[in-house]
Amino acid sequence: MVNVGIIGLGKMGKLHFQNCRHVDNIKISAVADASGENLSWAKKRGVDNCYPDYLDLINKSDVDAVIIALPHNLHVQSSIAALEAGIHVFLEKPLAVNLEEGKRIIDVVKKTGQLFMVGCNCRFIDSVATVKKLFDDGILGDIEIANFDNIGNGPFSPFLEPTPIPDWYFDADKVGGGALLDLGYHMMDLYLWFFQDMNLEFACLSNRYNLPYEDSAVLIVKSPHTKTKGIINLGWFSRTLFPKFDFRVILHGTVDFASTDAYTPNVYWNALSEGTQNIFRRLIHKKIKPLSYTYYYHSYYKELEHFFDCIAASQKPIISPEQSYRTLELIQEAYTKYPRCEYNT
Amino acid sequence: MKKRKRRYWGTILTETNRAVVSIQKCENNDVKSAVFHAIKGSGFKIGTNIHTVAIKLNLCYYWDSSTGETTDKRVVSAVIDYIREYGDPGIKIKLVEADATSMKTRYSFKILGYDGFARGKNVELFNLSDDEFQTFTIEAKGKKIPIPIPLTMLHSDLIVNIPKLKVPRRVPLTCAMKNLFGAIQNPIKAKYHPYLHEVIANINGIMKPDLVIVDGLVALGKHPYKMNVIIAGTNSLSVDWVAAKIVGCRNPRKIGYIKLAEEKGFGDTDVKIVGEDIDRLTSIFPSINISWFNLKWKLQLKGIKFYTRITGDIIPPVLGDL
Repeated sequence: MVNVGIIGLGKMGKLHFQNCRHVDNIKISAVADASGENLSWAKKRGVDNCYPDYLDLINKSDVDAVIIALPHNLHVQSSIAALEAGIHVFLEKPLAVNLEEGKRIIDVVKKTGQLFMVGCNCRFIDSVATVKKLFDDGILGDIEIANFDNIGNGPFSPFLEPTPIPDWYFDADKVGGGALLDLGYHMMDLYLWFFQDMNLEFACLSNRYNLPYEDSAVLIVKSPHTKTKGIINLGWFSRTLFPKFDFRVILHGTVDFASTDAYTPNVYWNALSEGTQNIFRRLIHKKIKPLSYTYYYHSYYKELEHFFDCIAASQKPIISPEQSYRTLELIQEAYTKYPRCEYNT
Repeated sequence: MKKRKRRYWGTILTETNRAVVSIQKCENNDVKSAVFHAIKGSGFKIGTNIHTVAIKLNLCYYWDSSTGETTDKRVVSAVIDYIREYGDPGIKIKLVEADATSMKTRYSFKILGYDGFARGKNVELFNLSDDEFQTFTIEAKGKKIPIPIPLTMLHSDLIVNIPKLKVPRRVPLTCAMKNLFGAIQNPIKAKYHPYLHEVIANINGIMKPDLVIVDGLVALGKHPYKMNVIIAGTNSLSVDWVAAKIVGCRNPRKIGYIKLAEEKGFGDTDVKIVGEDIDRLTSIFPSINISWFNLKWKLQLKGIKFYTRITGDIIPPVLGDL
């Protein structure tokens, strides 16, 4: 049994908390959050060790692994503290807000030998896995052009009822970046997964809203290995509402093409089908597939399951610390070489 | 703050004692001209003794005007120009909005570019939630509800209301009267939702804008739609009466707060429309059946809640705490 601590009980922390309760052979034994309200939320769900300071969780509780879902600027100190205490770390993306902090984390990972994985759930979306398999099997031929789109609303809540945005999201130093760091991290990670590496050819970062960071970005990249040209479109400007999701990977190959859209089921049909299957699973006392009825959110469960499977089997996770660092390196290159256009009223 | 002397409140009536609401089409993106014509059509005239003006915007969360949710800055700009052109050039103008349950005005001013806009137009941005207030008690559903009204909305020499033309989820119309709900000083407006119609109707008897300019450049119904119209009037109820008809409500009295406001005599519903043909606008507005929409959502959410209870599955964070 792996004892797990969750550091940060914001939107993502709570999602990981709920998913952890469905992962086999793990137990949430401690949580840490600065908000008393969030700690009571966890207490109500059976966690006794609740700490307002995450250092207390790391030093006082007996956890084997932590899930860190803190504001981006706290990733470096919390990850290093946990790793140095001999705790495996699952870190909500991004790795860090800058390269220097990212390097510090990676150095400590190498030094301590603890398992470390940055959460990139897009790799675990079924339609992405299907397209990846078509690509790996050579069914599409060589890929000349690839499109990666991820347009959402970032901190602007897509909830049914608008919810307040945490203040730290308006502080550029704490967030570290905008759509590029947030959604770009996912899409660049996917590109690296598909094509091993990439060079940044061009980037255009701009603002529709007057934010201290970019809310849209278009990147043109090229893989030095496969010579594939890629266009990565990112945005925080859309108020598209759940269950719609403006996300796709399109590969244009010398033999055929494939798009994740073609392998994404109708959301309502999927909810009905997966929901019914989960009801039957429950009736016959089998394990349910958490959040499979939402399609995309199931990937968050799968990434956690993968991380804890790796701990149990002493294997390396699919997302290596080096790949995570490379993703951050490319993002920082875009920020340095192509400063965003200033917002114009 | 000096108590406001009411000079311009009240509906401008025609010779036949009918309220006037002016609808002006915005052609070739000439918003300024459309706003000026609409104001002139409404019969509104700015007096010479106006020194302070409060312009109530409609900022909804952090969405920009292309979504149909928030006031277009071009309309605000034109209204400021009108006031400066026809009033005393030294008039102090404040653009006002109050915090809401999920929106902090200081952030929405910044994110939507109003801070730079205000500097350019030499006007002040003001958060009504930071204002001093006077508490009025209204009766709704047998309860006494205290409502804090910001003094700026009571004592400014001229109050201009710039709502959007939209149909949100809670009420069949958001326009002039509902926009003043957003001016209540208390940010936690959700506490008034059980008495929404009573609160909206009553606060319109307390805060009485002299001029209402409806931003119908992008209207919001089932989806946003470029209606390209500006509606102007001097009484909120009269303007809402017309707006309700545009969004497809044949009998505006079916909207709770309009019925209550009419009963309380807060304005006229015998309206003379000047300008655009209202039937044409009704035919192009992307109407939405709000009852069906809400029922569909409720059923889906109840279904998810029931499903998660029996299976132990998770509710995604996007749906909050159901």
